Amino acid sequence: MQLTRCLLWLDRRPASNCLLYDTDVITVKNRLLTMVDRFPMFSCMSLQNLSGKSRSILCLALVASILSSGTLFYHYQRGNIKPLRGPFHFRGSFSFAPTAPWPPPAPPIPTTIPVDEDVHRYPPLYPDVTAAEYLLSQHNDTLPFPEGSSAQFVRFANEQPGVGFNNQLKEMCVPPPPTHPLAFACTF
Amino acid sequence: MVVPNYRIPIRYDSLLNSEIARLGRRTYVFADVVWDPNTNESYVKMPDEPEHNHLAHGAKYRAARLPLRAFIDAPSSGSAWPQGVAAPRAVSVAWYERMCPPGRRYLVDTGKINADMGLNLGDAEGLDIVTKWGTYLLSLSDKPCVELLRGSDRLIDWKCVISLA
Repeated sequence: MQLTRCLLWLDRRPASNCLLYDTDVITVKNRLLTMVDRFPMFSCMSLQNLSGKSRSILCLALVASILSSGTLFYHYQRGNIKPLRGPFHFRGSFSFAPTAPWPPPAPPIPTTIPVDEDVHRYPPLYPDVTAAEYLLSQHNDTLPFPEGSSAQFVRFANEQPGVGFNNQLKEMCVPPPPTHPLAFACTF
Repeated sequence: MVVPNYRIPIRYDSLLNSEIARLGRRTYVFADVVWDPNTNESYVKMPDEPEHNHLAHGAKYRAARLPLRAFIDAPSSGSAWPQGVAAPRAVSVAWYERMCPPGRRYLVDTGKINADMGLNLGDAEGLDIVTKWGTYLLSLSDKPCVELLRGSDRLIDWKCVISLA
């Protein structure tokens, strides 16, 4: 059935439920002979012209190149490997250096804060709090010494354990702020 | 009549690390409260199994990082110090990364420094940890940017503030 389809494709005939006839085989043979006659360079393209060892080596190289090209193309499409760029356009080898930076860059900081018209933004969402952090007044390099561009920073990068919030946050009991005795009396 | 005390959430390592920075006369860099440090997305997918999802109403996603000022409004989160305290205000990580590119940072491995100082974090008092590290930061006055390496030993453990819980 497969051979029939192949022959039908070679003949460029519409598909039909016909059987395989001798005329089909004769047609294919004539086509191949005509092709070799037109291009004599293809006349040596036969594995029969090689010895057994060369033939096996050629077949193995063919299979290995097909498999490795598929793998390389897959990883190239996924971005896992990238071509080395040198003085020439493409040097012909690949590097397995990671293409993504580590640690991943921080997400972009929003620079907008809610205004009075954005009533649906209250209570403030987390991006608004992040924007308020970004707009703090000490983020200014023209301030005098202990702050500004001459400040001396210390960053505790070891304090992020990557565990739950319950392990990072604790509840502390503090006394309430002192209330005015008159207000206290009025309240209670 | 008994007036109940306020119960406020504190981030204990930020609290005591900012005290270390103040003793070392340095600007404390406050960071977000991070749930998943390995992602660049804003949200983290929660597991589908309800027994592994501890969030209220079985929420499917949760925030990967939250700004610290959503929890505390204090000098350790960038607010002004009280009157009479001469210390620089804390800055955010974004400003620190702008002012201190990676080539300008002096990286410190806390394990090595603890071994040099003879400080054993397992049985040391919290006051000793804070005082000794403040003194060590004072000795680094010629370094503009000091960064304690990510993944090195945490100075402030939850046992330091176990009496506050």
